[in-house]
Amino acid sequence: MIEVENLAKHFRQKLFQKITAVNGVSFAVNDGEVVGLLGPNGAGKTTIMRLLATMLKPSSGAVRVGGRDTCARAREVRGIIGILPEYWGLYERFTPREHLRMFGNFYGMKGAALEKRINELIELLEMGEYADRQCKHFSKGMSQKVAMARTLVHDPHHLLLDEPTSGLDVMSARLVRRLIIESRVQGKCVIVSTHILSEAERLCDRLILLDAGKVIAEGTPADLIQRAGRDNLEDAFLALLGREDAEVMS
Amino acid sequence: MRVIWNVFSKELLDIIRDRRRFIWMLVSSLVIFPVLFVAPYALLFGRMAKQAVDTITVPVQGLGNAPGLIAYLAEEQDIQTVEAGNVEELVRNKEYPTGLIIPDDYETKLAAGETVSLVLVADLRRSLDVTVMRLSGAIAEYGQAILAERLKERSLAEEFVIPLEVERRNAATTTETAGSMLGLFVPGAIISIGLTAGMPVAVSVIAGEKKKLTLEPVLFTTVNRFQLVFAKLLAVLAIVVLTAISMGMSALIAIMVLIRMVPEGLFAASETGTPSTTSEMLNGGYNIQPLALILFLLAPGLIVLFGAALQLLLSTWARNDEEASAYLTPLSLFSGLIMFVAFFLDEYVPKLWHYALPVFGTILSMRDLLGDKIDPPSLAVMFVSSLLYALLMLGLAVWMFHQEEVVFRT
Repeated sequence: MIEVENLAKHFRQKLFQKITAVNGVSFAVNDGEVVGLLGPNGAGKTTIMRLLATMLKPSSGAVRVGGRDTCARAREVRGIIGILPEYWGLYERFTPREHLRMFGNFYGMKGAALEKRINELIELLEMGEYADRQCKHFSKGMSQKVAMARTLVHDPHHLLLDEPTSGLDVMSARLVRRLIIESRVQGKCVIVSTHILSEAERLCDRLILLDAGKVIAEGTPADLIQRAGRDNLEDAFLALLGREDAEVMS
Repeated sequence: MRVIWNVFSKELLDIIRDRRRFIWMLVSSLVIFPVLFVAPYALLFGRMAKQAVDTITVPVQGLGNAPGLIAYLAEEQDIQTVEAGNVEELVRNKEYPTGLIIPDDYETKLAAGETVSLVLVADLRRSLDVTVMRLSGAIAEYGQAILAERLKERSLAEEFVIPLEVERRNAATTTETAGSMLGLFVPGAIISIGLTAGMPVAVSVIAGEKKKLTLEPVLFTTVNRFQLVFAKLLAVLAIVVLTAISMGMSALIAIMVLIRMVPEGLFAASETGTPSTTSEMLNGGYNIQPLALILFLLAPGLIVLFGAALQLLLSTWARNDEEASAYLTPLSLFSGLIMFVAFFLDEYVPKLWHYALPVFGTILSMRDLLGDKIDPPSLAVMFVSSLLYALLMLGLAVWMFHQEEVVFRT
C-alpha cells in the first residue's frame, strides 16, 4: 500500500525564490489496485513519482510505501518499489541481459536466481531476439520493454510507471497493459502516470486528477465522468480542470 | 564492496566499449611524446651533426688580408671561404649562416705582436645553428697557435699568460644535481597528467549520464550514493593510471630514441671542462634508493584522488556534459600552471608547512625524492595533508550527490 499525507514539495528557484511543485496532496493506493495520476504538464506528476521513489524529500507531509516512511527508511522503500521513468535511460553499449544483470546486482540479487529471473523477464516481455544485442539502435518499443524488465527485475510489490505506453506501437502497448493488469491480479500496488486518457480509463481502478500541484478530483473513471456531467473522460478531464476551451490536451 | 565493483566495472566496460574513443585515448597518449619530441629533435640533431662535420663555406670580407688564417681554416677545419663585398648583408639575407671581416692591418698588427680585431658576423635569429660555433672555435684555436708561437719566441711558458686557474667543484652529488634538473619538469608533468587525464571520464560518468538520463534509474535502486560516487571515482582513477602508464611508456620510448640521436660530444663536457650532469646521468651516475623511488611514485596518488573528487563534484553540479567540460576547463589551465611553477622552485628553500599546501607540497616532496632525499617530517606532512584534502573533497562530492536540486537538474 502507498499512503500520501498532506504532501508538499517546494523547490528553490533563485536565491530567495521558491516554487511549489506539490501542494498538500493526499491519497492512498491499496494493494491489488491500479491508480492513474492524470494532469497537464507541470501538474506535479513527476515530482510526486520522485517523492514516492525517495529521490526527493518532502518539504512537508509524509509518504509511506508498504508501511515504511520514505524519509526514514528510504533504502528499504527503494527495495520494494519498481520505477519506470518516462525516459528509459538505457546504456546504449549494454545489452538488455547486461542491464538486467547489472540492476539485479544493484538490488542485491546474484547467481542462478538472478539468471533465472532475467530469463523469465526476457520471455515475458518477448525480448529473446535482441536480449544479447547492444541497445544502441533499439526502437522505442524495444527500449521500453528493456526499461520495463529493469523495473521488474527484483519483483517489486509497488510499481510506479511514468507514461508506460507512450510512443509504443500497438503490440508493445498491449503487452505493457497486460503486464499492468497481471500485476494487479498478483496483488501489487500500481501507480500509472499517463497522458493517454483512454488507457487510463481502461487500466485504472481509480484516477487522481492533478493541477498546479494539487488534487483536483479523485475517483473511478465513471465517477469523474458523472461528477463533471460529461459523456467521456476527455471532456470530463477538461471540465474538471476548468479548461473546456482547450481543443487539444497539452 | 560488491556494489562498488559492479558500478566500477560497468563504468570501465562502458568506456572500453566506446572503442573509437578508447583507442584514440590510448594511442594519443602513447604517441604524444615521440611525436612532440622525437621528430623535431631528430631534425635538429641531424642538422647539428651534419653542420659539425660537413664542409662549410663562409663569406669573408678582406679575404686577402689573412692568407695564413684562410689556409688554416681550409686545411685544418674544412671551412671554405669566398671573397665577399658586404658580409653583413649576405648573413642578414640568410645566404650564409655566418661570415668574417678581416681588417686591412691584420698582417701588420700580427707581426707587431698586437691584438687583431676580427669581426664574426652571425644572425642571432638562427640560434640553433652550429656553424657560428664551429667558425669561432676554429679562429680561437688558430689564435692559440699564434699565442704559443709568440711565447716560444720570447722563451716564455704558457703559464705566464694564465696567472689564475679556476676549478669548478659541484657541492651537490650527481644524483642531487640531476634530481634538481629532473624536478624542474617531471613532478609537474606527472601531477598535470594526473589532474587532467581523468577529466573526460569524470564528465561522462555523472554529467554525461544526467544528459543521457541513465543516472536516475540507478538512483532508484538500493545502491547508496557514497557507493556510487566512490565507484565512479575509482573509474576516473583507473583511467588516470592507464593514461599515466601509457604516457610514461611513451616518454621512455622518446627518451631512448633521443639518446641514440644526440650528436656525440654534445653532453660530454661543459665549457669549464668538468663533466656535465647530463653526461654523468647517461653514464649511470644518477642513482636513487628503491624507497625514494617507491615514495616518488606514491606521492602524487592522493593529490590525484583529490583532483578526481573535485572533478566529480563539478560534474555533479553541472546540468550536462557540455557544462561540466566548461567548469573543468580552468582546472586544465591550472594543471598547465603547475608545470610552469615548478621552474621557479630551484632557488627556493621550503619550510615544513609548505609541504601541506595542496599540489605545491606534493611537487616539493617529489623533487626531494628525485634528489634521493627522504625527509620523514616533510613527507609525513605532505601525505597526511594530501589525504585530508582528498577525503574532504570526496566528502564534498558525496554531499553534492545528495543535493536533490543538483542531481535532478538537467
